[in-house]
Amino acid sequence: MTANPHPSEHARHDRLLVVRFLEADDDLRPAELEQARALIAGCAACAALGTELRLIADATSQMALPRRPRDFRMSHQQAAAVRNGGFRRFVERITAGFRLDVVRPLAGAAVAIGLLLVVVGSLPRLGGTASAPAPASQRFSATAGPSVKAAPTESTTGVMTPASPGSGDVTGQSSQPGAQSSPMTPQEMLTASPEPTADLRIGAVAGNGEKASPDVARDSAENPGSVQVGQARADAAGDSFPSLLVLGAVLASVGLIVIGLSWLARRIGRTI
Amino acid sequence: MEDQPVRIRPAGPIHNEEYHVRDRALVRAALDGELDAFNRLVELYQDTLYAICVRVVGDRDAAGDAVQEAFFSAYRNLARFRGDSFRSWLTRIAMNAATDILRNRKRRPADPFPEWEDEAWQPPADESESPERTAIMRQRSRVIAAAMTEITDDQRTAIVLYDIEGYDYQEIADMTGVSLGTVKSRIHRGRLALRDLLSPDMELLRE
Repeated sequence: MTANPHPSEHARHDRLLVVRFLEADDDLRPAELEQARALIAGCAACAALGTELRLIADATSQMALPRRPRDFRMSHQQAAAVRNGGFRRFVERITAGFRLDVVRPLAGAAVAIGLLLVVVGSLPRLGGTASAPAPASQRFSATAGPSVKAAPTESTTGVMTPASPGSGDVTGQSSQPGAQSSPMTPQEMLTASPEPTADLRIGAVAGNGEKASPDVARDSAENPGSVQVGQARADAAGDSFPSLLVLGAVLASVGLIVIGLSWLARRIGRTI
Repeated sequence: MEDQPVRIRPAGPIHNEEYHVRDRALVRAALDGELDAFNRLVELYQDTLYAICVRVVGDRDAAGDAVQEAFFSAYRNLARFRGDSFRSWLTRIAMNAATDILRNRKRRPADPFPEWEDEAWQPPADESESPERTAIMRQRSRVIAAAMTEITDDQRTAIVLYDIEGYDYQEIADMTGVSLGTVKSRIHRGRLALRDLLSPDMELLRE
């Protein structure tokens, strides 16, 4: 073996290649084999690598061991628990992050809120009440924007005025000149109030009612975006109750599942 | 001149067909409900599993937990044992348990290897050896153990399985769920990393 005249050159040698050669890696290509042989023949440090790696491997295999802390043989009770522990482990894994004292009240609240939403969400489907459309009219007033202000019509004000008497948004819009100039008569209010949502949709969507059509046409001509806004209003009004229903059902279901898991976790003896 | 491949790996445990036959018989008996048969397997392999786990995770308690979990899991899934070697199957389960521990430790890095200096780590030295020799062995173990903590978990696992337990590349690939090339790379790079870490202590290893 030739001593390496420039030891710093060893740093540039492919030591991994040397290790692979020394380990008899059968993935080495003939050119790599040749290169590895040349490195070992020409560099003392590369040649010493094999000896050093062997020393390390021997020392590793003789490394000190700690005493085994216990006997791992299983008792009959442990064996029975392990055999029947599939469901238990599943529950333990699922509830691992639970703090049962916190989670159970939260789950109870979720069930209560969920059920409430289910009830509220199903009210209009049962025939409608005066209070049920309030969220829709609030959303209407919130999304109505400039188009409503720019084109106040009988049909628009006729719907808005009775449907949202306490709403701040609507109060603001009612103060528009157009709204004040065409106040609703008590007779109009009577005809409008039984189905406010229906009126809202008719007035907003496309003006299917005879009165609304010309207004909406004019509104569209003056404000091309208003028809789209009206469509959005209609979507919002149409989706709100099924969404509440679904949201309530999901919330209640999740709450019930969590309560069930908490109960199981307690049953199997998990401590808080 | 050292221009031919040399054997770096020390002699590992023998994988004897006789052992496989014995283990399979014990597995069958355990599947028939004989807990004693399973406990016989525990007796046979608990030291081996503990040695692997403690070297991989570097913590006696965590290693004990990994071994316990491995035996529980093996008992639960005994019917799924299909291979030739119960020892390899059991080792794979233990490696999974040890890997879980290492993963959890990464999430909560605290005191990675708290017990290397513990006196409970005993060199497997012959009692007839001189006190000087025992001291050297102990010191050697300490520096090796310290260097092992510095290489990556994957490299350490591969080296323990290859050098100490005597598994071949393919068995380690099967156990750890990586390719053959990855196993080789981990072992080669791990060796080089150990060599660099241990270069100041090479004289101690030569003694």
